[in-house]
Amino acid sequence: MIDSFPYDEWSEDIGAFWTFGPGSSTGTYIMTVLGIALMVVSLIGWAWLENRKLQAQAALLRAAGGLPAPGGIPPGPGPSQPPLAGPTTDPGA
Amino acid sequence: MASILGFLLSQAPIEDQVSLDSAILAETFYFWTVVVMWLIHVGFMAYEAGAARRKNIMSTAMKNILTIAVVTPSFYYFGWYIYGCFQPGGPAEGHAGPGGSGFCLATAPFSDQMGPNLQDHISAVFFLAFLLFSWTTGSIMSGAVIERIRLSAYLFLTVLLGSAVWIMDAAWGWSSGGWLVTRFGFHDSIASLVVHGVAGAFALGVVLNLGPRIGKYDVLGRARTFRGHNQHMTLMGLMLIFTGFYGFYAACLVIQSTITPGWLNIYLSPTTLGAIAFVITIGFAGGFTGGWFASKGDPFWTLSGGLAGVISVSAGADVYHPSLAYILATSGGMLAVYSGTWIEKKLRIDDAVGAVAVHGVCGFYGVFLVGIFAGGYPTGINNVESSFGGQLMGMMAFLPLAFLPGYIASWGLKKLNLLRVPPEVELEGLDMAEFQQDFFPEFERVPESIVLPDGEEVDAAPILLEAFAQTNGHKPGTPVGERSAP
Repeated sequence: MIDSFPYDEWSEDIGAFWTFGPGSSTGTYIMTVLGIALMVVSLIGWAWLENRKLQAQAALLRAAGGLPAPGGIPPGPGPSQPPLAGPTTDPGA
Repeated sequence: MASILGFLLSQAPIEDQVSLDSAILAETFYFWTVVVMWLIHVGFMAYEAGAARRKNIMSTAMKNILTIAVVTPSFYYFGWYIYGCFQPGGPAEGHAGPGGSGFCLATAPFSDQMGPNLQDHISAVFFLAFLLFSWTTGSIMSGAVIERIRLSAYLFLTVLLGSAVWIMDAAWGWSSGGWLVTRFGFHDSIASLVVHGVAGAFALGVVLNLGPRIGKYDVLGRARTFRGHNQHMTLMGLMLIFTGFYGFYAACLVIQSTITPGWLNIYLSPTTLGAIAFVITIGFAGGFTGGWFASKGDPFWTLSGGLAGVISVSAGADVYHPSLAYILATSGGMLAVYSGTWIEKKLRIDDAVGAVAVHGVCGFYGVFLVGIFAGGYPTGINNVESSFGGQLMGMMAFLPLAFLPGYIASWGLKKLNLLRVPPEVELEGLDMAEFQQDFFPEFERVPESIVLPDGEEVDAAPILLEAFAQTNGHKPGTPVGERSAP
C-alpha cells in the first residue's frame, strides 16, 4: 500500500531539490532566497509586534491619567493594570 | 626503483589516514570550542539581567537570547561571505558568482562547503567559530543599551554589527589575506580590537543617540547609580564569560597537526595553545588586580577589570611573555575603571555596564600595546613586521568603520521613533509592556531605590517621576530624544 503511494514516483526528484546536494542547484538557490526572506520578514515582524505592544502599554498608562509607578505595578498574572495614582502629566488639568 | 614505488604505494593509505585523522582532530577541536563559547552568551545574559532592575530582567535577557536568532541566519547568508570575499579591502575578484574560486566562493551560502559535505571537515566548524564571535559582538553592545532600547531596534543593530561591521574589519585585519595584515603587518591575534574594540565603538555610537535612562543624571548633570536587582548574578555571569573565553582564545588558533609546532595564529604565523593559555590566565589575574585597586574594591569593577585585562593583552597573546601580560593586564584593568568613570561622569554617557570602557577602550589599548611591546614581530604569511605605525593604521581604519555605522543606524531608528521605548513604559519597566508579567511573582516587590551622586541611597520613585516630567517636558509620549530644556 505504502509502496504504491504516488509520492514515491517523484521522491528522488523532491529529495534532490530540497536536500543538500551539489552546489549551484536550483533547489539550493531557491532555499537560500527563502531563508533570506524569512530572516527579513522576522526582523520586520519583531519591530511591528513590539511597536504594537509598547504603544498599547503607553496608551494605557496615559489613559489612566497619572504617571506610571516606577518599578511597575504590584505583581500579578494577566494583562497590565492601570498605574498607581500620581501627579497628572496634562498641563491643562 | 620498483621497490621505492612499492614502498610509496604502501605508505599512501597511512598518509591518507593521518590526513583524515588530522582533519577530524581539527573538526572536533573547533566543535568543542563552539560548545565552550556558548558559555560566553550564558554569561552575558546573566551578567546583564543581574545588572538590570527587577522591572527589566526578562527584556534584558531576551535581547541576548534573540541575538542568536537574528545573527545566525544573517551571518550564514552574508556575514561569512563578507569575511571570505572582502579581505583585499573591496570585493575579491570573481566574488560575485559560482564562477569564482577559493575561500571566497566557499563562504557563499549556496556553495558546496556551506552544508553537509563528506569531503570537507573544516568549513562548517570554522564558520561556527566565527559565528560565535559574531554573537559576542552583539552581546557586547547589548549591555550598554539595557533598560531603554527597543528589543527590535537592538536586533536590527546587532545584525548590522554582528554580520556586517565586525566581520568586515575581521576580513581586513584578522585574516592572513587582509590588506592591513599583508601591507602593514597589523597584529591583533586574539581580537582585542577586531571583536572587542569594534563592538565597543559601535556601542558608543548607539548610546549617543539612545540617551541615558530616565533619572540617570540630575539637573546638574551629576550621575546617579541604579541598583541592579542581583549583583551576584552579574558576577556569576562574568565568571561564565571568562570560562567561555578559553574557548574563544582556542578558536582563534588554526590547527596544523602534521607540521611543527602544530598551531598557527589567525595570520598563519606559528604559535602554541599553551602560549595563549599562559596569557589569558595571567591576564585575568592582572585585570582583577588592576580593577580592584582602581575601583577601591568594588566587586563589579574588579571582575570587569579581569575582562578588561584579558582584552588588553589579547592582541599580543601569541607573543607576550606571561610577566609582560600580567603587567599590561593590570594596567588594562585600571584603565577600564578610570575610563568607565570618565565616560559616565564627565561625558555623561549612560553605558549601563561599562561596555564602551571595558571592550572599546581596552580593545584599542590592546592593539596599541602590540605596537610598543611587539614591534618587529613578523606577522602573516608575508612575514611583514608588526609596527607602531601599522597598529595605528588599524586603529584609524576600525574606529570610523565601527563607530559610524552604529551612530548612523541608531540615528535613523531614532528619527523613525523606533529606537527607544516610550518613556511611560521605561518608567514602569519594560517587562510589563513586553511580557505582561512580573518575573518574581512569589516575592514581594520592595520600593525601587537609587544612589545619589553623593552616595546616599534613597527611594527612587520621586526622583524618577521628576526626571520623567523633565525629560518629556510634561508631554507624555514625546520621544525621549526630543527633549525640552530643563
